[in-house]
Amino acid sequence: MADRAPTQHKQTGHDGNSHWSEVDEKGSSLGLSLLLLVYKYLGRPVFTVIILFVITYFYCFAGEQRRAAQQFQQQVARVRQQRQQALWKPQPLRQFLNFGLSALDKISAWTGDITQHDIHFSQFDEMKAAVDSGRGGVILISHHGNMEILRAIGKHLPNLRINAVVHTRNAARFNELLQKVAPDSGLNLFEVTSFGPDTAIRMLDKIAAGEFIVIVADRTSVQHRDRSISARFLERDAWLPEGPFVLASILKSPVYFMSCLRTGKQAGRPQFEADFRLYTNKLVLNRKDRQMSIGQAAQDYADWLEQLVLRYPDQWFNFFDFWRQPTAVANKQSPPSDHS
Amino acid sequence: MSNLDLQIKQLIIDSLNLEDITPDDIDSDAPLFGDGLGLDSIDALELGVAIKKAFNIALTDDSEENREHFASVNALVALIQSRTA
Repeated sequence: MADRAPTQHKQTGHDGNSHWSEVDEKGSSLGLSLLLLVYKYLGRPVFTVIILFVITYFYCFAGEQRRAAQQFQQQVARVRQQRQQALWKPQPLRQFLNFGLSALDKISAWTGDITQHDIHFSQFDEMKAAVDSGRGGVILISHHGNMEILRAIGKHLPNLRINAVVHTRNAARFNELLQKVAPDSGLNLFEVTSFGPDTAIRMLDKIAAGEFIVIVADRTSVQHRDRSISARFLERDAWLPEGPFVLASILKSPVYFMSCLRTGKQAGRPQFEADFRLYTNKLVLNRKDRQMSIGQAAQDYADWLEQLVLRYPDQWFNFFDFWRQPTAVANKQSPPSDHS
Repeated sequence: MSNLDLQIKQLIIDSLNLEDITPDDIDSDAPLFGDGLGLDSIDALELGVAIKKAFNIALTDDSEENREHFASVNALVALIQSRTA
């Protein structure tokens, strides 16, 4: 983001070792409001050309992100080969182009151009039952695919209230835009910068009201990198945040995994597939071996994510070294409070 | 043992599922975390939520502040007495 000074946070420079929060979200510097105007007045084809142009520009100049995409694509290719799945040819540019397309699709979803008919969602009835049960829940999502498309589904779930947990440092601008574009979307951005009893209680109130807490669980915590747990992902050790799993256990509510992926085009319209599954009705972390039970939950999440990623490697929107160990994990401490 | 003291010990046991411990086993002066009862940061969260529910005491996310409040059973008694007085 232009109004932030990334140099302050960059300790490791340009060697591809930055934590994800240190990597500028180049997409957001495009000026989302401007893009929205272009889309509205010039239409999707013109918009697509602009997006492709801008993305190609970034592909050429964002070396760190490009190397990360390359590394990821190669790993996918290796794993697909090992598992005797269809061969995958690593093409990091495609991952960038899909990122651009996803911005376009987001806007189409906001403006209502993507409808529920464009989304194949075989678990709609299960989700409706979960929403109408009034039990609320925690929904773990990822940076794979495009969750905002599900706005089109949300319209058909009148009781759905979503609280999206955000680290506003990277999301403030998006926040504003959301308010302008969709003020009554049933979506509330839940800002979490620290996590302690106060935040837990505010979240419990939401759950008690039958609402859902949505957390992205594939990026380690900004402030608490020591709060990371390792899980096997594409045959290598990756690091996931402990926070979402700890939180889910504190909230004692059902835990779901959810994603939305682009599957292709039909009659010129982009098509999507949503996935919504109950992970557990209550996540219990064994007191005697806390790390192991958090690790198990993280691994289950990683396994779920992995099978989707292997099917759609180009929609992976983590443009940083996903397998890099966060620096603070090595000397782990347990302060008596403030868990994130 | 005061009534509040006992109540807090029971709350600790119930909210954290400390099955093999009775209120008599908890020393009111001993640290709850680390060396004493051996609670961790997740226990602190559970306990914070339980205390809020039982006594309607608002706790912040400030870890330094909570470290003091949650130092021992006596510290919790003092906190609850000062907030509910």
